Amino acid sequence: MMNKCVVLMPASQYRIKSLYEHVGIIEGVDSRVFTDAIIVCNLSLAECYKERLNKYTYQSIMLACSGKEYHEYYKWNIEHNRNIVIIGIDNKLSKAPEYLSTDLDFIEIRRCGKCGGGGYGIGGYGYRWNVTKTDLDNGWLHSAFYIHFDTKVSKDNFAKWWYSGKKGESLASKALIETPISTCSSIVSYAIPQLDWENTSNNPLWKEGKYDEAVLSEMGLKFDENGVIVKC
Amino acid sequence: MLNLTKEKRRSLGSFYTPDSLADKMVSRFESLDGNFVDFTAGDGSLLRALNRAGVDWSRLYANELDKDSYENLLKMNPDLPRDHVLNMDALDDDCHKKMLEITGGQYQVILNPPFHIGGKIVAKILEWMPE
Repeated sequence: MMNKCVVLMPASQYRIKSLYEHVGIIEGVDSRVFTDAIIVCNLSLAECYKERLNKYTYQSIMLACSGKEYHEYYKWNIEHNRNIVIIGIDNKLSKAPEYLSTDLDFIEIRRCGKCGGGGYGIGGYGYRWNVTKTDLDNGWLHSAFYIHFDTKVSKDNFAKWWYSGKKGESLASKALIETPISTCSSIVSYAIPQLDWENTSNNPLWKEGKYDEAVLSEMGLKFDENGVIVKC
Repeated sequence: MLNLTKEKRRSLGSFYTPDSLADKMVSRFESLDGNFVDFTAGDGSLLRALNRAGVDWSRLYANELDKDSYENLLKMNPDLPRDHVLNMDALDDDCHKKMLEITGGQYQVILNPPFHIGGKIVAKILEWMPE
């Protein structure tokens, strides 16, 4: 019998000292069972061993603990990685750093993930920067992230998609809320559509204003009647 | 049931495990033979879950760093032998040396560590865990 360590902790902690190599099995835990606390991370229950089992990578750990309704979407993004990554803005700033551009850089608050709040819809924190390209409402930039795009069209298309739906209802909102985006790790970029954003606006569904459907269509995916993302 | 205030527990980054989840964690052990250790025991909810599943208190061991939580752990679990409970830092090698000594070098681990340092604690536990 191998000695076992049964652990309840955030899935993101398995990156430390390559702990993911020691995991035998892991699953996500519904953090709502904690009635005295708001848990803002992806909580997991795992069986760990002294030996390195090498059954998981860090990314597969994160995926195993994310929302199962979005697995096909996450998988597609992992398999088609275009290096569209989430990067943290760590300093306490009153305005956007000078190295960021309204044309090429999308800025939003990290609390788009499980931390609640979020920056979706027209009331999103970064809407003015990303869409109307005017001043930011500052005070939240210390907990912000940015995504860099190579062209203005790509960035504008991405922003149009991001703000097209309501918080808790849109694809962006739902897919990201299941991930620890607050870590600003490139590993969680599987929640961001790794599309050629320059061309998404050519999709017929996009032209009808069905932005989420267009994004999924570009991936060969769709929502089924239960809201689960499946292959077309 | 909890003697520490929510504010105190938040300051420690400690969120005690609900019974339903504690029981689920216990069910992950194929065998409940031998000793069990919780290195970040908090109020002892995981130890009580093991006891509910049939593990005698004499085979349960704990560590708790925070002095107030340590006192609370002893108070809330009067059947837990006092010499089975350490008040040390689970990130410190000495804690693990001492645990190996008092358990006779044989144990499995159950754990709900403070979330912000959980990975470091688990890494240390695996480093010292008996083969």
